[in-house]
Amino acid sequence: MTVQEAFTDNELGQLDDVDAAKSGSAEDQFFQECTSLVRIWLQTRELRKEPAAPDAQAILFIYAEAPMVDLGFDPATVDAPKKIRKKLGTLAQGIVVCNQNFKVMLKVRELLTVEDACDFAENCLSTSVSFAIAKVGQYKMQIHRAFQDLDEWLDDPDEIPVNIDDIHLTPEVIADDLERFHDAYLSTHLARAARHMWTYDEKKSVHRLGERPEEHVQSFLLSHLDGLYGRASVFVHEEVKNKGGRTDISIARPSLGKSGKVNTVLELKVLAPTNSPKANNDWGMKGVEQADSYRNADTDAAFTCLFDARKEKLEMPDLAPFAKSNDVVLKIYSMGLPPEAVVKSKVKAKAT
Amino acid sequence: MIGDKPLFKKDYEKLQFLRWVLFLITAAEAAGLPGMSRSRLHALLFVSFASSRFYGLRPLRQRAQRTPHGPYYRAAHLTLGHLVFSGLVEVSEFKAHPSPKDLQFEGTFKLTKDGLMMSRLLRQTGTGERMYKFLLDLCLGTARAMATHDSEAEFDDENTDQMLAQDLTFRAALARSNKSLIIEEQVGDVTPTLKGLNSIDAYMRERSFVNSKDVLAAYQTLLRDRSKVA
Repeated sequence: MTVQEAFTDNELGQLDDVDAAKSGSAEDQFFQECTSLVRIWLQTRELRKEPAAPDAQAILFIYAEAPMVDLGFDPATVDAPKKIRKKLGTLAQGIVVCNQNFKVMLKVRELLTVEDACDFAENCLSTSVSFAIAKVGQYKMQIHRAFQDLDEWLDDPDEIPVNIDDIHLTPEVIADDLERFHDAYLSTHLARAARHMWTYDEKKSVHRLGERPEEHVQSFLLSHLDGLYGRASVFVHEEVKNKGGRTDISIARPSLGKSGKVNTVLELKVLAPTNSPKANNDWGMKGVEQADSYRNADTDAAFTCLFDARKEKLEMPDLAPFAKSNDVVLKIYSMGLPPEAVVKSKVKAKAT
Repeated sequence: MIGDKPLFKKDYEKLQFLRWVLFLITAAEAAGLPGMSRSRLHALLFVSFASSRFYGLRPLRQRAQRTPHGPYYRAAHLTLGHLVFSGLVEVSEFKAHPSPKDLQFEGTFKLTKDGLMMSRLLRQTGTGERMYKFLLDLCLGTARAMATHDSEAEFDDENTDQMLAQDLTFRAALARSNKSLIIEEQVGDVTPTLKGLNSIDAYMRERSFVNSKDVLAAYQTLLRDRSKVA
């Protein structure tokens, strides 16, 4: 049997309309499912010209790897699970425990306000649980990733807008959104994403940049853009981890062009405080090369986003010309460091 | 060595098989597929061994026993017994089978909370993580391919076995006169399944950004369509 005989051209042609599934970690996919469900519900209401839901109305989505086996919290704190379906379109409020692709959805409480949702999270969920509180009347969603400190999170949750408007996306619009993302999430060490990237070593009284900082940025940016862009599909390559540190996001949407689609690709790099100027410069150059190699025939722009956590933000004169010669848009976003004299990076070997 | 006992190759292989089966049952649960029948488990094992090299993983078996009920692995049968008796998997709808030589029993297998915890522990190694990712992607693909047309959240359970029976390596093995169902004639052979996956991969990547799990889902979608006309 030859490669050509495995499937006919006709069969392969049927795959033209197949979109990539939601991507990223299981947790990332869960949050994308939450956004997608809420967005469809909001869009349906708007089409029917129904008034917005009350500000207090909430859906608490709780992620469980295998909800039928383990809810991830004490089942005595909720009602008996009732199986519901994504496409029923009836989930307007309540607590629902879902797996990563929403094939399993167990409703465990019918009525819920935003206050109830926060109380439940505070009293019944642990820090290790991933969950999202959809404030459906406010078109917003609060996202709690596993192992974010729950008390801190409740005081200042990571909140994303759920946009249902049809935005005309261009590289310029994406660049503006990246600026806003940086301001809210990474500009200071206490910003929403940055505060989880630095760990404090009490013995040595130093802050350290956590492992895989790019993946951290990617996860926050993924859910942020997914909330913003209703018609676009936000995609990450799952298989490129540990392959030269590539961490990317692509934003694909329909277009009037020949192929009917267009995409913008982003390569994310964090410049570390403990790396030498040369190592950081090389890391930035690598980001440019990777952004360039990542594009395909439908790519309108390739960005290299450097999140600059260096102590001294020295000029890197080779970078801009190199990016320009590769037709890559170079963006450098300054990250404020925790206030202390010594900042060391955490190096930990991965188990094999 | 475990304690003062040497670890023999056959013991090591048993552990490898145990991990693969536990991961497969966990992955099915995580992908939202309901409890797994004995025959579904063996069919999924066959497809997983025929396709694992797509994820750079060596299959644990190069062939399966041929039975009127589809592929059968004696090792899987014994493994299920171990998993059930150790409380990592529970069995329902148990029915003894008259054939003492191979099938022996039918039943539906479901992960327990202890099984889920054990599975998480075994995923902490690099190989365990890669193996689980592959099996999860395979099951996510099954769930995606077998979602009914009018409702993507509904899982078309009845036709899943027919879809799996269309696997390219399984069809090729059935067509041969061998007593067993051959996956790889020689270790490292490119299976018909792998060829099919590679052709889908090349086709899809030329057109858009996809992950390997999308290729596994597309492969099973094409098998599903073949099973409808078969």
